[in-house]
Amino acid sequence: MRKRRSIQYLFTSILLVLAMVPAAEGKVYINIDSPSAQKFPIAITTFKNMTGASAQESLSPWFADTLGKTLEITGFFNILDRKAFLVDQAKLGIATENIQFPAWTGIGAESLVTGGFTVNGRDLTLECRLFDAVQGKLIVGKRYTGKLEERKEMVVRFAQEILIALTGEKGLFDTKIAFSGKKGGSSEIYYVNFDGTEQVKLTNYRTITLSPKWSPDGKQISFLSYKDGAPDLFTMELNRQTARKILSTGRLNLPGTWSADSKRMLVTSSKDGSEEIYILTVADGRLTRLTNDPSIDVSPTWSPDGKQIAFVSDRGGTPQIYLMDASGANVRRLTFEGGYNTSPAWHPRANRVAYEGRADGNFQIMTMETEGGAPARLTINGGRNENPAWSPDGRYIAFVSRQGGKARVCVMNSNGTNIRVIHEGLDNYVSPTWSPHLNLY
Amino acid sequence: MSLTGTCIVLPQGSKEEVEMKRYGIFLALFMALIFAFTLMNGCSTPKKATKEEVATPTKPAGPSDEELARQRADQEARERGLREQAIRDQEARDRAAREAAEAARLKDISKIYFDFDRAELSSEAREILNKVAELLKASPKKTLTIEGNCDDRGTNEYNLALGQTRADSAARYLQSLGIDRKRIKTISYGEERPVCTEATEACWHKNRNATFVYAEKK
Repeated sequence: MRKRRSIQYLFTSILLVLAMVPAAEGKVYINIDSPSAQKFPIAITTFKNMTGASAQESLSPWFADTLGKTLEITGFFNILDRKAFLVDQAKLGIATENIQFPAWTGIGAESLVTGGFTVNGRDLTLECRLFDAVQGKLIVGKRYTGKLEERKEMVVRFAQEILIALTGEKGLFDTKIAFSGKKGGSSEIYYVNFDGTEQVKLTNYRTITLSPKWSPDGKQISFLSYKDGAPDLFTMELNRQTARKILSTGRLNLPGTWSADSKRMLVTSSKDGSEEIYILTVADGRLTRLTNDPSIDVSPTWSPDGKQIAFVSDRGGTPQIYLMDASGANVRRLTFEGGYNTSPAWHPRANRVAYEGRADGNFQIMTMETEGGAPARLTINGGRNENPAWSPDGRYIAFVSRQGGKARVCVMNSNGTNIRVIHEGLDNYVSPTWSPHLNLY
Repeated sequence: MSLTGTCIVLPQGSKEEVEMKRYGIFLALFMALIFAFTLMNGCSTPKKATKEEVATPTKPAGPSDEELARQRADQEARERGLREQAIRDQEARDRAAREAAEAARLKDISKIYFDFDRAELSSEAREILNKVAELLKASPKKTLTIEGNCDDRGTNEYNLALGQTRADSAARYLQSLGIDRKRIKTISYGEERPVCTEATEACWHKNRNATFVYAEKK
């Protein structure tokens, strides 16, 4: 796991406390769960160099650009072009009394960010303020002190503050996405940051290695690998990068999702004949069988409260999504439309399942309420879209997209908008899995 | 080596070849030496050999008898080596031919194919499996690994399960024909080991298979 930065932040000092509007009781500026949500227009001024010297001038636009890019990948913001700005707030001053609010609402900004920095040797002090341009008031202000080389981290921290203030929840900047990437005849597990940066190749077995599942405590990834000849299950601790074999039966074994306490895991195994779903106790390898059907039962995923399980079965003739109680009782079919519905992923906070189903001759990402109803199709591009994985807040879905002979790992907002590529260049990808918050910032 | 023994095996025609071949000269010298030695020792050599040796009494003394014996032994070893190599080559050719014939025979019973998202055995698949069963019955030492494969159109996890189901389906049928299940191993590769990658029905068909890998039990 990436080292936790050792900086001694004195960052929590809150500026201008009187003007603070706590987000919890304030209004929610961006309702990201609304399927028709418009992108929120925000202006970010160049940061004011308060060092007094002309040194580090290039940091003025760097802070503004970096914050803009960081906010942009959330998919919620329309970062207004600086060329359209009517006033130079860095010259006029960056505190509330200096802000020319009509000049910002005049160009369509609903929110404004100003900032200032002081560089002293390698030390950096950064001040950031977020304003409600329409109401003409400060929403949140922060001061961060640290080393110059920690400036990116400071920007990401303020981006978190902006998200908390405007959406009621911190973003996913401290999350990562793992996936299996294929090249040539073999596949390995990789992971990258939420924005696609900082790729780590977790395995190097030069064989088939698939289906990574990130544990809810963030410390481990389980996966399936043929590294010892048969499809066995392993866990790997991310800070040690050593694999531990947790299930080997000489037949097919596949990992499902972890329990909330990271101690048990749903698995598929054909050890008793046909593919059945079991609960595996990770510490001692004990298996508890849940399904009992001669057909294929595979890809189990727990509901967030652990009381239900969604899985794929072809007991009805074609692969479809089924639900059952956590005990294995009360099996009922969820999907009926289309002849092939697989890869269920239970929403982390709602009774909703994302899955892949066939539409227009291709696989597309769908969602359906677990109470039943009509499927909602999220992806509409001409390609083939598979293997949905929810972000820990349920606001995004990572998935694999194949189009024009190229495969990519993508992330989209949960309403299907703002698709962006987070990994490409390998021959193929499968099974993205989203980490929990890793508290990196 | 005893002297008498050496005398007995001397070839008849060596005298005439003395002029033409070193080999002959050596032999002659050898015989001369032996003759002298025999006279001294009063060795009771057979008449035939003794006569020959009489013809070359004036030859000068050459290499020692140990050296001659060594050269002769070398020569014999070389010839033996060549003969053995020839035999080995022939055996390798025979083996390659047998293996090619075996491979050709096994190739016909190396794969069965499936319909999309199905693991049921077609009548063609059953015919091939009947031959597989015959082979296994005729060769009790043979073991079989059945690898289940899928085309890449489905979901990769589901396809891993489907590949296992396909392999199991073939294994069950062989078992029903009297083959001990212990001789059969199954493994699924799902869609992970395609034999081709084009998005055509012809290629998908090739990838939806159970592949039979034979081995000899040691």
